[in-house]
Amino acid sequence: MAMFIALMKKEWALSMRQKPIFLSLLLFSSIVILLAYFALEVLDVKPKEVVPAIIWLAIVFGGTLQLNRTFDFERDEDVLDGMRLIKNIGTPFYFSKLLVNFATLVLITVFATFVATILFDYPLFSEVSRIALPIFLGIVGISSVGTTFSTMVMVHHKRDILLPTIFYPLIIPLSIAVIKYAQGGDVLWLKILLAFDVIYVTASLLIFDKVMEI
Amino acid sequence: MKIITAIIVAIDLALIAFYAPIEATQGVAQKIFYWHVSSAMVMMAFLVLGGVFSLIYILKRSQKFDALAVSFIEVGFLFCTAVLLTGPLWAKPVWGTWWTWEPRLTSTFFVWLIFFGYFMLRANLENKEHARLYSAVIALFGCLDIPIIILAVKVWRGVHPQVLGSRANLPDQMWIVLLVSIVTIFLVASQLVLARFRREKNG
Repeated sequence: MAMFIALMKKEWALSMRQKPIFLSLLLFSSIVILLAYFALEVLDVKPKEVVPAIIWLAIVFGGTLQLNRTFDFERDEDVLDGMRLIKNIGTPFYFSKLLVNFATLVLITVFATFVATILFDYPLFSEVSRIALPIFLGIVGISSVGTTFSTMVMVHHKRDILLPTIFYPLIIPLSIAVIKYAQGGDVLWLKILLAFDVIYVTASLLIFDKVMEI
Repeated sequence: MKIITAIIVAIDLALIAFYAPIEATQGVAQKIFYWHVSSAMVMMAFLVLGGVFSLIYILKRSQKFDALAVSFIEVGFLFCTAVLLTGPLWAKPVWGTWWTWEPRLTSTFFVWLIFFGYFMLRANLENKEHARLYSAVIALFGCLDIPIIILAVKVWRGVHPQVLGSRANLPDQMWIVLLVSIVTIFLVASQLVLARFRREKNG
């Protein structure tokens, strides 16, 4: 636990040093929503039906940018080699990265929801109880898988393109579940989301040490 | 063994062409079903086997298991592609459209995408040890994802009536040809895995 707190302090210090990046992430996700608005304007659909999906789109795209820079600071200067020397660092290290990614995604979500509400005239207050839970579970899912996968591509110079190709197919069922439940679907979707999160957080924890080893 | 496989393929093709009756409503197009169904079985079995070998590789780090995993996954992926190609070929004359979001077709497509990522990563990482380990992780995660995909897609599309019925709906002749086809395709696939495994082992 002490290790985790120390790592979180490091992450906090690093995040505070690069606030402009968060600004670009937020800007990027609102541009995604803007583009979606242009695409859907002619269809004359009700905001209740499309807004959850568009928010999710902004989260996934903006999230990919964040996930790709998960290990930006560890990649250089042999920081990872130093980390490997510390005993039992795997789990706290993974959780610190997971938490940072998760928090950033929450930030993107809140901002994207705000932008989408205004652009689409979405009845946020009556709908928030319905969309909050699936999106929360969805973010847990993409941060858990995304953190592990970004570990695997971090040393590669083509990681920008590799991460989405391995990451998006895996989260397809997650995306379907989030969007369908938020649009007014079955409770079964929540169970699918929960199952996905449990499976992938556990699997990531078990595998992370192995992935860090080499 | 190769010659025997070739002969069995020829026999199976002849059975499909001449012995199997022509389906009343779907016509000749239905005959693709014998290889389509067997390919789907090979795909599922081999991808899951590949996932299991990947897990063993992650735990043991023995190159033999990586070679086994990549051989099974590659052949499984090949047959996955075959399923995705033969499906629309059948659907066009029968359903009148190349692609429908039928649950099984959709699930297969998503699985195909995951394992496409597997090969992308494997081919792109220059460090061979990284490539082996990381692709094994994807195979493992991908296999864990298969049941979730199948469930999610089923709920999403609504459970459809069985396109291909159980044994009771198939006339005996079709049933025999299907069994022969399954054996044939498994034989061909195993030959491919063996060849691929040898190549991987010899570097």
